[in-house]
Amino acid sequence: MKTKAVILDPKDNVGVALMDLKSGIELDLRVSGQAIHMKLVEPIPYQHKFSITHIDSGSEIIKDGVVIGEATQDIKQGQHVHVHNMTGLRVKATKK
Amino acid sequence: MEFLGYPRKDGSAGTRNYVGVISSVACTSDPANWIANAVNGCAAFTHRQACGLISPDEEIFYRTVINLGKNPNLAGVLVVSPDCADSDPDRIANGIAESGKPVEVCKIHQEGGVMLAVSKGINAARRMANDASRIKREPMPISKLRHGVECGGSTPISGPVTNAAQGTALDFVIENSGSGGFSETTEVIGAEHVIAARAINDKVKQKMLKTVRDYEERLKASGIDFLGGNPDHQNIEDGLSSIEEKAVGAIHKGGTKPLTEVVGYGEVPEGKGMFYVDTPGNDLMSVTGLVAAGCNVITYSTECAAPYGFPFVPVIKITARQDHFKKFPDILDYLVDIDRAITNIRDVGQELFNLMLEVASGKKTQSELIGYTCAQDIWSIVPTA
Repeated sequence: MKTKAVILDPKDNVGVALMDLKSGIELDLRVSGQAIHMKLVEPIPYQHKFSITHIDSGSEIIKDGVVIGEATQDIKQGQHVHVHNMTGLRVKATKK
Repeated sequence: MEFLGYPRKDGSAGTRNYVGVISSVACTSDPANWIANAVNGCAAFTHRQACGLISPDEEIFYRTVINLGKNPNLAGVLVVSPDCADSDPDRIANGIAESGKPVEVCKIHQEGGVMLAVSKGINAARRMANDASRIKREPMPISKLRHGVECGGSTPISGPVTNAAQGTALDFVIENSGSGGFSETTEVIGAEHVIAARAINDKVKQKMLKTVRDYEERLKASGIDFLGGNPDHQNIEDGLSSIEEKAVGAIHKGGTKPLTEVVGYGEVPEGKGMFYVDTPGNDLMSVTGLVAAGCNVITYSTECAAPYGFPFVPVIKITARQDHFKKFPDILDYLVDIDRAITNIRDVGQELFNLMLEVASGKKTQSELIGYTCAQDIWSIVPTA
């Protein structure tokens, strides 16, 4: 069976869809021996990110073990994480 | 572990055995191509630079073209040139000759025009190709393999899949005493701290950070809103949300080994392990920088199936897109299985490393099979005057 989604690094708070995933789908994810059971609350397109935990507005978004930006609003577990609810820190710094 | 390569006088090993026909300046591109096309075993390198160069482009140009000529995949070099004040083919030829390989110069204005020069050039190239054809492949240690890693067309999973496959293959090269590295400074912006943290000492670390900072400053000074345009529309549609996310994916291609050196465009690293070459993200200029750095095999991850090839260094093009791999058999060389890459990247990297050794030993890539070698350029940083 093809893997539906993956968490790339144990530090991550987002997962990555490895196929188009429908809202409501339940996922069993594993990272470094830890199991996470969760449900998507939005459809996640192939290669896009979803939160694997609740992320407060202003908190770091971590993918692949590296901070890739911060949340611009509260993000619930299972929500789509993209340009509508996160921003890169470099681009944010230049806009100040 | 070894590959079969061509021995060179300077101790390096070629994975190919061409006579390079290098145009000293853009206006002699045509005769250089005509000469190379007329003789089996020749490879032309043409570009659009070298007329009226201003510093630092002049230094960058000459060291780049000289080090391209010194690349171990060339058995000899014919420099094709006009005879005018704006081009110094003898500077190029003398620089290349330091490697001990035969170098000749064909100056159009000294031969009585283009056709007579081409005729003379063809004869010179034919003699050099004849000499080159006597050199035989022999077993070479992996220490003589220099692996250049490139990517074109980022997606959110190209980092942990195709770039990680290349990076792991690079790890194998380095574990076997070879060298290799990556480039594309614009692609590193946002994750330079991650790659700099892998530097062997503070000097290398600071040079890595300065290389990226200088590039950003130049972009700003020329009025380019780089962060505003990155990630671009296609990147965002694919799911990349920030420049940091794009950069984190891009640097996967550098593998996991310590960063031993950072060199400028056209410079040759000592090659004691993994190195970084300062180049633009433009693939044509970037691969040229890697070849000038002495790379004799290139891997290139491309989720957009870029139809790319280099004249005298094999480019192994890899993708994670099954649809592209089926649809474009004459563009792509290797398909990375996403599931396998996610669960066992060492396994995938080992397979790609084995393919690299086969290609280094003579197996042709798709772009070589169809003669797709015309895409190349040299970086210039001074605004065009």
